[in-house]
Amino acid sequence: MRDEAEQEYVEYVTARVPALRRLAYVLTGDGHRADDLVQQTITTLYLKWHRAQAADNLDAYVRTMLVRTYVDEKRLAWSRVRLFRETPESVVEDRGVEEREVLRLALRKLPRRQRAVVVLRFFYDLSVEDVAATLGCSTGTVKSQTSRGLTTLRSLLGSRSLIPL
Amino acid sequence: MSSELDLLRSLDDEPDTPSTVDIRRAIATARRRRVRRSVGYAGAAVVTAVSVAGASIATGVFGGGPLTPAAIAPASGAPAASAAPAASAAPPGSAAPASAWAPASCTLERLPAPDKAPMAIIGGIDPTGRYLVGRSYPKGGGYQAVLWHDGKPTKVNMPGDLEEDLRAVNSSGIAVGFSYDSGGSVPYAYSNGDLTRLPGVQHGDAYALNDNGEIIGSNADDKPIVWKSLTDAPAKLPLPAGTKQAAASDIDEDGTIVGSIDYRIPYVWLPDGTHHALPMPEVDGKPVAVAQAHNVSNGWVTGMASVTDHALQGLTKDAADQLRAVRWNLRTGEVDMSTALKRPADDVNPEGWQIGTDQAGHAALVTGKGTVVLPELVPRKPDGVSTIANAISADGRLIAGQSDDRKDVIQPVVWHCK
Repeated sequence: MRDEAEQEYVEYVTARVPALRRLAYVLTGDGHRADDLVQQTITTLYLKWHRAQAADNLDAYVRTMLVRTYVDEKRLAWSRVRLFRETPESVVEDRGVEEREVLRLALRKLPRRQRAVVVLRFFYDLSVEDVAATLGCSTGTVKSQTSRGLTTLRSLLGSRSLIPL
Repeated sequence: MSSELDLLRSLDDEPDTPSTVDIRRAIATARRRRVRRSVGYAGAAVVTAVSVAGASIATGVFGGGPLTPAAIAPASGAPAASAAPAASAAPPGSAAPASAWAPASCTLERLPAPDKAPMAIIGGIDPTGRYLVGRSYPKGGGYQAVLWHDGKPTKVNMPGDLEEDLRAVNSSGIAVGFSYDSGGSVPYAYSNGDLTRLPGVQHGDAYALNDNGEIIGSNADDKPIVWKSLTDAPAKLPLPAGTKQAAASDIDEDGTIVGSIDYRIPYVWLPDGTHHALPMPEVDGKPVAVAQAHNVSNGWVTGMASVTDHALQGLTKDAADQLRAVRWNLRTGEVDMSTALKRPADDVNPEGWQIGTDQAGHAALVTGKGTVVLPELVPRKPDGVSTIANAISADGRLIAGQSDDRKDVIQPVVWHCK
């Protein structure tokens, strides 16, 4: 990579890391897994930087890379470290934090692909078509996974009376 | 929909752990990968030739290695562990004197995935090495549970099309695993072509089983349970007072179950109904803060240890580096920490041989006679994840796992060791 392109890569990634960590965190529910997912994504991005820069929407391109890495289970380093497969619930301090933890745990009970659909649809406000494009599946699949994911979340959260769904 | 929206948006925060994302490291890793790739593309024929000669890729058929009854015997000889779990008379290794055989080399064989699926992973092996389980990633998306018998893959269709996997299989070819329904994961057993939902729980998971058909798993509350058979209601494992979280992760042929309490105390449930913590390994004369038991075979238990509990609190920068490979001998009470393995072992056999990642980052088999590096599909700079050994047969002659192909796609593989 030429110096100029590399500088652009570094600037872009530096600015986007917080947003990528947020996305990775809501998907994985664990800080370490999130960072490994981001690390893997930006490594691949470096290799594809030339193509990525040509994308209509670079942020969406990178988000797709991250979500697909997550869904495809491309042997993230963390998948080997059982300790982090079993991260305990964090210590909770105030009610707001606790609610988020409850929701995070509920999300973790969803299958990987369903979780990605729910997060992209409602966390990122993506349309059914955009989610289908991101995940490389049909719009019908996105719709059915959305419906199942929400049903599951409701059943998991309903008994906690967290939020009137 | 607005309530769901609000709900999910409340999660819009960064991890509360310090960032370990490192852009320089990403660039360095990417450059190494690019160099490897360009070499691969430039001289594919040459690389292939080197692979065959240098990495000893097996051309023989699956199961070529001899699997004599004698070789399998150590697994069924395991009840000795129940006779005297605490006695020091005969450590498991003593069944195999110092001069006993251990593999000196292993050759690689790639296995097929059903329907020519682009990617598949093998996670479990039975003691004889004839059965393997895992899952494939079909072209159309999703997951497909798979059972390999003598190298031939069979699709195991499980209810639900969300996520599924078969995790373990025994010498009779009975496999256990999970599939998600809309409410969560559901434990299943597959036997003689029939899939049965494991009884007594609405949701849960099944992690391992032995040749007697005893299965361990978890219930909907994530508490450890054991099914004595495919048809018996599960029993909860007893837990020490004050336990918040517990996990059972493997079961020995004699019914000994290993796991952990509160993620930090290695624990064992013995066939006589007693249960206790395993000794904490020591580093520099001090007990470590965190340890877990992951696998058990013929009284050998393998797992992890970490000197600090930072990893549990999510405070360390590079927590994975601090995870050590620990091995307990249930008969003698001895604990050792492998210096050959960089990370906790992925499996152990009745001789106490461990498979895992060696210090250089290669998949490796560690026996009493040394370390055997397991060849990869495509020669790479070892990184600990491009080739992974997941499970070992009782006689140690067959190891199953995964290795990345030229396009970085995970392929199911076995190693024949001799």
